This record gives sequence, structure tokens and C-alpha cells, in this order.
Amino acid sequence: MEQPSAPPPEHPTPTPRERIPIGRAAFLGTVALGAVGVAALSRFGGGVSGLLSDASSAVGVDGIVPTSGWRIYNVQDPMPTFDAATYELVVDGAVANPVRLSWDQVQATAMEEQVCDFHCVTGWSVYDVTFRGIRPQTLIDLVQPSPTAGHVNFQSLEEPYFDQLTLEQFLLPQVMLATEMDGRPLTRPHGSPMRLVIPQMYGYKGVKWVGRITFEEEPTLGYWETRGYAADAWVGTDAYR
Amino acid sequence: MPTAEAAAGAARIRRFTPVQIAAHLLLAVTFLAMLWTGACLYFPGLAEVMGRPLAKAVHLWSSGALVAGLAVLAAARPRDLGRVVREAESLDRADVAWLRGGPRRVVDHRGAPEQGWLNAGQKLATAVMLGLLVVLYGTGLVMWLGTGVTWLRIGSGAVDVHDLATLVFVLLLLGHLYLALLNRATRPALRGIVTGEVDREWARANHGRWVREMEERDR
Repeated sequence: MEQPSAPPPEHPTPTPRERIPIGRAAFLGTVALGAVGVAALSRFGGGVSGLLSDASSAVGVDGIVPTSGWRIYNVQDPMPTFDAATYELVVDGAVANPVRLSWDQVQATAMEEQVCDFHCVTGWSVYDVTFRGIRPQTLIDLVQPSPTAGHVNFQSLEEPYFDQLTLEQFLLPQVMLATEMDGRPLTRPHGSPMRLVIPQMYGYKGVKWVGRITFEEEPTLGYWETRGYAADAWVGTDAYR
Repeated sequence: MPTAEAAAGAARIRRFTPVQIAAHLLLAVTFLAMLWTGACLYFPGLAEVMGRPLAKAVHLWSSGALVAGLAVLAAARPRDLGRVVREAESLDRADVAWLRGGPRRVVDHRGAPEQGWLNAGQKLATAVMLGLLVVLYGTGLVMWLGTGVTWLRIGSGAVDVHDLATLVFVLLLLGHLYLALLNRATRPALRGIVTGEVDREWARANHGRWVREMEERDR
């Protein structure tokens, strides 16, 4: 008695052929390259990305490739240019003693140095960055804000970028108005001559190219906060508004 | 027993199953959604187009939808997706000979060694794209979890590799689209991934061994 024949396979059985696992190697190689890339760019990202960044600058695509682990974001091109002869730091608003400080006067102000991490809301971080700059209390002592001034606006020379901290946030430890980074004056992409540093919050709160600081009584949403980001951009949160 | 299709010498031959078509469509839709929302999260100039919360939500939900959808399709018809993996896994001598023809082979198959269901270029592209997807998911996971646990971010390594992997994937995708939509010799394949069937004579010329095996099976 004949056995019932097996149903035909859904797909034809391939003719026996020598199989070389090149596809598997390509798959595993891609995955391995990705893993090695993460490790290498994390460890040696500065050198590698510095070279790539120089190359990208040469072909006019600044900001696409990170520099020493940093990615440079700006909202207006070109970035502001610092001129020591004309720069003025204006500190005003609800204060008893508004000031306009020349660059020489800024440099003559008492400064401190600190090492802190920088976290961007887009997912990257730079660790152990050395900043040198002016502590908020030094500025407060200078301009004497009124008791009702509970907020501080930081206006960038890169119009229309600005952001705001509460006075309480401004006085958090390690907040500073930095003029130097890693032992050198701030470079133009990093906000020369002065940027706000607040390690407890994501980088978009750290206004670059600071030109004016205004003590206010009312809260105001900053540049990114009007675009869906949180005013309190605490590191470790989604920073949604 | 010969199928009606073969007996009639049908002009078309079935190349892809509905599950394979669905998996391709799912990958296309979710990848484009992730690419667009990723661009909105990456380029400051696009930051205002849909806003960060919506862009991030669509990005993450698309990645989840792709995995969940593929899992459902694989569970429903394991052989259909398994076949793609098996095909892409290894090359035979004919595939290697095909590759020796150089990049010209990709756009013009004339005179190429007879190929199976997928040609060597398609196998390698599939393998590399699957590898890139694993890299994108791995680095994406680090970035996602790194929101709350910043030491997990490993500096900018995960972001850098996520971006580079996206760039390579997009380059492959552009080549894929060129071959599917514009290149005269290969664009008849488009019908296959839309309807499941391709022109039999085109298939005979480009995937001759597969057609021969199908016809032998049906004889």
C-alpha cells in the first residue's frame, strides 16, 4: 500500500550547494563594528571627531560632526563674533545698581574654577569639563537685586535666544558665568566670551554668547520652552513642558 | 501536480508571500517615521516642525511598533520571515561569482551567473541592514535609558554611532529606492513587493535558478 505523498514544500528545496556564511559575517560584522564604534568614540571620541569635524568644516558643513565629544547647536547663522573692544555685559532689571561691564571689567571680576559634567537633552554627555568664571553671588552682590526679583533672564547675542532661571536655581552650587573652558578662553562655538553653566540642567538652559542679564519679577519662557521644552530642564527627566 | 499557474505558463510568478510584503511595508513605514522624527530631534532647524515631545513619542512608538509587528508576523508565519534570514545568511559559489562582477552587477544583471530567490547584492544588503537595525536599536536603547541614567550615555559614543548607522542605512535605502523605482533593469522587481508577483521572464533573466526550481517543483 502506498504511503500518501507528502504535500509539496511551500518553497522549493534548494539544490545542494556550498554555502558560505558571508551574509552572517556581514550581519555580525556590522553589529560588532557598531559596538566597537560606541566604545571607541566614547573613549577616543575627541581625537576622531576632531579630525572629522575639521574635515566637515573644510567642506562647509559645520556642526554636523561633533568636536571633542561636543555637538554645536545654534539657532542663527553666523554665530556671534566676540570683539573685546566693543563687548559689554549689561546687568539690569529689578536691581539697585545696574551695570555695564567692559570686557576688561569682566575679566577683573573675581572668578572660580570647577569641574563638572555637561548633559545635552538630545542624549549625549561630556564628562569632567573644567570651567572658570563668575559665581552668581558675585554678580548679585554687585547689582543688588530687589527683594521681588525672583527670576533671571539671560539674553544671548545670538538673537533671539534667551532663557531664564529662577533666582533659587541661579544660586545652585556650580552655577557660573563661564569665560574659560578646559583652561582656554571660550571658543566661538562654545559661546565666547561668556556662557551660563548649570550642570544640574540640560545644556539648552546654559545660554551661550551672554550679552545681557536681567533680573525680573515675572517668569518668562525661554527660546526652547516656547517650543515644547521644559523650563525646569533637570538632568534625568524628559524635559518636556 | 502542476499548478494552474505553471500549466498555463502564467506571465507572472509569485515571489513574495503576504507576510513578507507586510513585513517590508511595516519596516518602510516605521523606518521613515523614525527617520523623519529623528531628523526633527537632531536638526535644530526642524525642532519646531512637530515639537520635541511628539517627535520623541512617534520615534519611540515606531521603534516599538516595528519590533512588535515583526514578532506578530514571525509568529504567524515563521517560515516566511525565516526564509529571508536563511537566504541572506550565506552565499554560494554563484553568488560569489556574481559579486566578482563588481558594482556594475547591481544595476545590470546581463551576463551574470544565475541567481536564486535573492541575488548576492540583495543578500548582503539585507544582512547589513539587519545588522544596522540591531546597532540602531542598541544605541537607541542606551540613549533612551540614558535620559534617566546619564552615565549610561557613555559620552557621545551611542549618539555618534546611532547617527552614523542612520547615515549608512539611508545611503543603502537611497540605492534601494533607485533600483526599485528608476533603474530600468531592476525596477520590475517593485511589482513583487507590492503585489507579491513578478514578471516570469524578468525573473527568469534575473533570478534564473529560483524560477527553474519553482518550475521543477510544479512539474
